[in-house]
Amino acid sequence: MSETYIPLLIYFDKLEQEGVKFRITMNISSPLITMLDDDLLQQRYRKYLLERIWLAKKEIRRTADNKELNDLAKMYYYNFKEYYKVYKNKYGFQLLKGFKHFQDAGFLEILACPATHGFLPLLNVTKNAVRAQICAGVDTYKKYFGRAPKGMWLSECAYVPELQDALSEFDIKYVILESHGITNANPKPLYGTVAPIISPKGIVAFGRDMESSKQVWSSICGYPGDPNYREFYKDIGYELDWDYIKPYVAKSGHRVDTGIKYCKITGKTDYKETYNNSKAMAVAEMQADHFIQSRIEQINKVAPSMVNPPIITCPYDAELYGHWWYEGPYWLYVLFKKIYYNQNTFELITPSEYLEKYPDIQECSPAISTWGAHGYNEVWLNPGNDYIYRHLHRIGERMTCLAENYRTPYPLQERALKQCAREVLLAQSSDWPFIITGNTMVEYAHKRIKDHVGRFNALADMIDKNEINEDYLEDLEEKDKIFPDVNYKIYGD
Amino acid sequence: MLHNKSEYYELPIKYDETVVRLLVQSPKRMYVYWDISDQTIQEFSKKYFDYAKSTPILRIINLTKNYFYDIPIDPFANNYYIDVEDENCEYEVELGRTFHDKFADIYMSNHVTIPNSTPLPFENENEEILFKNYICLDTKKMRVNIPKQRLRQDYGDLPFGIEDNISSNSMK
Repeated sequence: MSETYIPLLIYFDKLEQEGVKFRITMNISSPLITMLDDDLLQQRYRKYLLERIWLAKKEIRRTADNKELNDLAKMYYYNFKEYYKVYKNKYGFQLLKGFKHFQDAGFLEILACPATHGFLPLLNVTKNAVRAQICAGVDTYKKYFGRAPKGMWLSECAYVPELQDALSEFDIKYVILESHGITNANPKPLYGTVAPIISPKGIVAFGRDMESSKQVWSSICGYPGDPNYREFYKDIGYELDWDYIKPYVAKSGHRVDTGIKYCKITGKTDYKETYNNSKAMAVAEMQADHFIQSRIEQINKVAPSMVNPPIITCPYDAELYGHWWYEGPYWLYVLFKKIYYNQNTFELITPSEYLEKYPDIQECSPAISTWGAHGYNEVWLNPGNDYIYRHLHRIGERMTCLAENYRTPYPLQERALKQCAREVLLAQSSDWPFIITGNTMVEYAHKRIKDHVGRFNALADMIDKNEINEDYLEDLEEKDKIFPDVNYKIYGD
Repeated sequence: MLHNKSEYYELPIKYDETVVRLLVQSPKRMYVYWDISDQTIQEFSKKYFDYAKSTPILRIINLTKNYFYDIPIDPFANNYYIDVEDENCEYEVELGRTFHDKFADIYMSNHVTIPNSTPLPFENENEEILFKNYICLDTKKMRVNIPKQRLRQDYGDLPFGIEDNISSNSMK
């Protein structure tokens, strides 16, 4: 919120005020939409921001004898105050209003996403489980953004041809794939990733451009690794005296990030110098120039031989901008301005605008692919996490049976069926196998799988025995309240 | 209100249903899991042979190239990773058991496609290329002027997009 979404909205707003025609495409997932709209989380975040403002104020006093640190403390104080103002006064705690505004104004195209970021190629043995993932994602999108999505961000860019039917059913026009989803397509596309391809059933696929990806993502030479940029891993939450920092970290007593960081990356050394925001901004500006120059060269090389102008698709995780790469939102802001003012080789465009302008697309079947390590499914299917699939498939199938068997449920039964559908969707999140493979919060991921499968099975048994325990159901409805209007009937279609 | 009520669940060890499910891990490897119901075991014993004295087998079937081979598996195993030779092919796996050199099938898996891990060769070098209009979905063949040599050089015959250090997930 403080590092990515609010800074992005602030810069979008500045660009709009300054009359800069910019275009950006973002996915806002259903869980994120739901969290941004949640009263409890809104109140918590409001309190969090007020605490940050207090902490930054304390930091201004604490660092009074060190000008460099003091300037940074003042920067954080100013930023947190601005974030609070934007959050409370501009958007009334509803950041979604901001994103909706920029979409309606034509600057932003928001992509939908499968409901809980389910890894669809591995759920596809139950067709209705895939349809339900897409349906709930699209329904949430429509509810909050007041229109149907044109594109879908497939979880982990994971594509198999079998997804075409479900995507078409929900009127998804295009998806974005990892580069080899295009370059390995059949027949081999003429233009590689600089042109979209269209599948036999009419789903357009744009491919990630490798050169621009590398410029940003590479752990060796990527922009965010510049020594002048802010160091992510040095946070006062871990470094200052416990009694001083205690009120601002986790209530459980664990030290956590506060968002106040004073060091720059410096280099591959434990010794870290003090961060200088002005210098970092200057680096971002230079890198924006470099990015533009690289795109111009790329375009000039391929454009003369193409039927339509090339399109360079540059997808990144949103959290890279601001959270990992503190200067990322500023880099985007400068990049958009420089593209608008300083060159006339190319312009920013959203995928659907491109399709409207250049609707004739080479027909190829996109290749099976993901953007995970090694390009396929190993991250989400390996000996550490493979046990989950027999349970995910089983609950998907049983949900299908429930939806078929109880087509005209009485009200309590309907509530139980909806809750079953929520538990299926939550169990299917690709986060759980990802966390297990990443060896981060492994026990948590195992527990989430057990909980959602366990809750589903318990409720399904109650439905089948016609012995629904309303207290139990109410407890689950309170715990897992995402997708309040979930269309469980889709499992039975 | 029972919110925050503590809950504890364990995953079922088996569901007593006969299933064989095949999943793709990569262009080189598939994953199969299975479960055999008590009823299936009884029926097998009645129909063929003493289930406990037969040997479980996975029959790997390449539907595209029309061949199969068998892998004997441990009677206690309920899942297996299968290395495959041929990319860009459809596969199925049949779970069965052998006894006295005979094979009896129990259950056939879903079928999967093992993808190609490298770009396919260019086709139709001198022919018209199929284009589809994304709005009306009409298709038409167009003769387009493509300096293929150059474009082919640009995106080469390497499986790009799969370098670890630029995968988004490696950053998290």
